Amino acid sequence: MASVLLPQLRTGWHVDQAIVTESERLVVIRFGRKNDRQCMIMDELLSSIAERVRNFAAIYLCDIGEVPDFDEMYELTDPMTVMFFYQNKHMMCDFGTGNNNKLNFIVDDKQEMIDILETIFRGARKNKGLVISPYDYNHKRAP
Amino acid sequence: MSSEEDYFDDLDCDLADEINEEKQNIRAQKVTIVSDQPEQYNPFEILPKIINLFKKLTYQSTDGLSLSEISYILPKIADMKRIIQEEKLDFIKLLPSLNEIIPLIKKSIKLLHNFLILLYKERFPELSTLIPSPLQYSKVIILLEGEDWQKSEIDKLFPQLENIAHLSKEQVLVLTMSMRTSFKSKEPLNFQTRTQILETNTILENLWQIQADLEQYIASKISLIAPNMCFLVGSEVTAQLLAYAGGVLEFSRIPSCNIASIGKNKHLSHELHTLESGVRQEGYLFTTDLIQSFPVAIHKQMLRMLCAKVTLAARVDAGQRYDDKNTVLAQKWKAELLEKAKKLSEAPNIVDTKALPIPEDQPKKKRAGRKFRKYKEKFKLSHARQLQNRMEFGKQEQTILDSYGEEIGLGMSHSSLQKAVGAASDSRRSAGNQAKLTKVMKHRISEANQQADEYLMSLGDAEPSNIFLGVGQEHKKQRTKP
Repeated sequence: MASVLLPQLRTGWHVDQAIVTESERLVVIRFGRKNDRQCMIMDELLSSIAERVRNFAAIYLCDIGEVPDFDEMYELTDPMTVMFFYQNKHMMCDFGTGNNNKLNFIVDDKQEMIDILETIFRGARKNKGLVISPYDYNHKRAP
Repeated sequence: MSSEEDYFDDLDCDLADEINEEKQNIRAQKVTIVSDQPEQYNPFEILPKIINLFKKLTYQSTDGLSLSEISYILPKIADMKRIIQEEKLDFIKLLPSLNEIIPLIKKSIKLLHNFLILLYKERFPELSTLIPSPLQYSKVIILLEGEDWQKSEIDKLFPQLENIAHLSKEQVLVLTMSMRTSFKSKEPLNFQTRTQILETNTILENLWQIQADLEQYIASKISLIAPNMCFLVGSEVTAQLLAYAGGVLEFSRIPSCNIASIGKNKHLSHELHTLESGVRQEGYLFTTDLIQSFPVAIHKQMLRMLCAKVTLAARVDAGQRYDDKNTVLAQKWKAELLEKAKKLSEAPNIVDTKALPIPEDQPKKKRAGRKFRKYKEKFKLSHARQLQNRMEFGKQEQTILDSYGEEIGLGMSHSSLQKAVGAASDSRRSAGNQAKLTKVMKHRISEANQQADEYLMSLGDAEPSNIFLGVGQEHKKQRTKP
């Protein structure tokens, strides 16, 4: 239900434009399917913090069923993936899960998510490509 | 009355002697009363008589009731009808009697209803629990007794039950279901009971009718006696409420929490009370415009608020005198209610969430300089502390126990190595991190010292003691070396 509160990126072009045109803020894109359980939980969380982080992060949703263009490039094999971009650059983050490219697990605390976004934004402003997450998610490592 | 007489004609041949006598008595009484009416027609004389009659009737128990006693009622009903139709009568003078009569009529209806139940129990014991309304009960009895219903003909009964007895579809359904088991269609009533039942039915229906007429009559005149209530809930509901309570004063004594349930239908076991609005007390008040014209979601709150205001209005009406009744307060309350309803049905405000600030790392302001170095010195570890944190290689550390019994290592601060170089390091000890006295404190201490000196001087004018002097000098030393 929360998925209607966040802007949807309908085509590959929209995704590209969202990443390319945003010059000030971090672009956060949730790739997944809106009926997936994990996606629904994450959408709920993202939509609840979207207003608060609007000054430094833009949050979008992208249905990989509708837009399969990025599946290969970003290896979108998980049911739910959150990726971060800053000024047309992919931001990596070390969550302790072994996959630094994306966030492919559920974060269940709003403040944790806000802290992650802030950390990535700080790193991005300092031209870093990889930042270390303020929290360790080793226990959420994909099996 | 004509129906009754038809009835009597039908019965003539078969009636038992006893009943015959009784009936003749009734007829005789009726005739006399009817003939009296035109001459002594004065409502204020007739009404008390009617009231007395009803009162006597209501003292009766159901078991001891007989047809002859009930039959007095019919002519009285005719009297009341005439009174209502009279235009010139003073309603306010009439109202107390009318108010007295209505509850009496209600009681009588109840009495007759119980009487009917008693009589009809043998034939259809479940009927009274299925149909709680006296009027419907009596109508259903008439329908059931009117013809000899066989099981195959029950289908024909449906439309009649709905049209004549005004039963709801569910009630009809439940009734027909229970007729199959509980109705003893093969054991007809004996003639005497049957007569009694049908007679009672007629009276009950007439009573019901006159009660409705009276209520309607009062409704048309009610705005005179309860203008504030009328303004809030309309004349019809006001009349119903007042008729229930028996007058404005009586109504004003009912607490507001009980008003909502006045006029509520009796609970039926097969009914469900799951309204969207959540209102269970669907009494007279629930039908008012002030509630029905608003969305279902706020019905419950509106009902509660309206109940409170109606009670207030009733108190005002009870307190005001007849000649200067006004609706100023009711107007105020109605406006208040409308205002509240408007606010209740408005959408809640959208709370504007404040965005977090952009997480920017500001460059540090202080980095170097004499002042900043001095500032940093304040937080530096003292030389002894630094040594305490160092360990000498290959030697056991000296420890002490503090007041809590905790062992504290002394590190290199007491080692021989330290003692060897102690003199040199001591000289390097900086004063930057020592506790500093504030200006005020310094001033205070110097003053205290001065006073002590003066005191000693005054003591030791003759013989100043060395010890005291020594103390004074120590003070001075401390002062000079903070």
